[in-house]
Amino acid sequence: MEPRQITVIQASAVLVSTIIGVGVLALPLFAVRAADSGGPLVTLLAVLLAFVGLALITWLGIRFPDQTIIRYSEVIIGKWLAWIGSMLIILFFAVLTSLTAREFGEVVVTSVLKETPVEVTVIVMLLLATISTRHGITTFAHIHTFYVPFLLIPVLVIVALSLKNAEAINLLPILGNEPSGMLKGTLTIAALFQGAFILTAVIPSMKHPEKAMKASVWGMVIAGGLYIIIVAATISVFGSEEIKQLLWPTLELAKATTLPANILERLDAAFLAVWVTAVFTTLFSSYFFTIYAMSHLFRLREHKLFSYFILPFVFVMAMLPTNIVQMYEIIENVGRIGLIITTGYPGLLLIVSILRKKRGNRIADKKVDQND
Amino acid sequence: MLGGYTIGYLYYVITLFIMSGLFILYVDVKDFQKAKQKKEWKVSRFIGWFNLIIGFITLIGNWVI
Repeated sequence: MEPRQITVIQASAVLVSTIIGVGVLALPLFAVRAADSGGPLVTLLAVLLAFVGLALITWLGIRFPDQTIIRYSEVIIGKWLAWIGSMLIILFFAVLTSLTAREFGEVVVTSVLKETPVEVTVIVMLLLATISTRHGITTFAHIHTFYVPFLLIPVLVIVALSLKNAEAINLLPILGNEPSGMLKGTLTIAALFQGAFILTAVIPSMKHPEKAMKASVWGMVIAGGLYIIIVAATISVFGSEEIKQLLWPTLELAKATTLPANILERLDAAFLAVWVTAVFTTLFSSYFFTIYAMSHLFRLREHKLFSYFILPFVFVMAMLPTNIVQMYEIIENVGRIGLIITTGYPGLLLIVSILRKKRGNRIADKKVDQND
Repeated sequence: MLGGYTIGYLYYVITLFIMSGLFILYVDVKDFQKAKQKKEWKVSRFIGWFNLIIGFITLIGNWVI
């Protein structure tokens, strides 16, 4: 059992570093496919949609400050219905973990370690997450807080430097030429924010759970703002039609960017170093949430026993897509379906909890991880 | 696949099942026994053996087929 130690800043840091992840590389491609030059607008809409989901989880967390979604869903809708919902959440996050690991592996074997089997890169990343998740949630929050500056500062520097090649005309019209795919694109990009669901595990360990909404707002403003900046910068540099020909436009943006006085002629290596950290923190969160939720579902006081148990299963799921094209199709479809689990389900729980007047202890000055 | 050499991932899966099973049985089960966490000890013993058996069944199945 751990005392409540996580501050609002740490909770925000967990959100930021969880959200910013593997999806950053393909993000501008998803945005321009949806609405051409209207990519930044689609991203903004996606941020707003993702915030709705996050706000629902936060609101529920504030109503039940002692429990995670796995436990308070049982109070709200009954044990068996909640069990189905919890199993879906656990399965979804296990799939999300596997797809994150696979996407990481594909990027690495395509652009850096060209002769290394993709299986090895996936296993290495999964092992890193497996070992890290064996500690408690306070250590989890510390690790995220430590990495946040290393994610934000280099990306902002690269984006700022890339703007010297930018043409503002590429961002017009703001609504895009063919905004017909906007809804689908908004859902696809909103799905990149689903890691924010981790907040439901963090709130019961926060010093002041009533301030969780502040953490949510800051987390979404920082991560969402960074996503909008990346999309806007990439579109303004390349233009929407060129981006449609690129698999990972953000990586190309880093390649096209130079440090002043040509100290470094391309920044893709530096960007990839940052991106590996970003992938690790995202994978770390989804892996942690999977085993943390399992331990709560089975009322166990420790989650570490599941860390090595799920490793082979996650690896098998990661290897199922036969190629990059199929992998991205699966990622887009799973992401959109996941919105039902990460936004629709908490919304339903919130409505039922209000109707049935269910809520947890207001005074949340107890120890966490009360599974027994 | 666009990049990387591959030899199929079955042997990686078998290795992961066996290694994870052994790790759970040798580390986690002992830890929970020391800490006198009975439920965790039982569950970890079950999942440890589960992974180990799946790993060996897959290995034997792969040889036979």
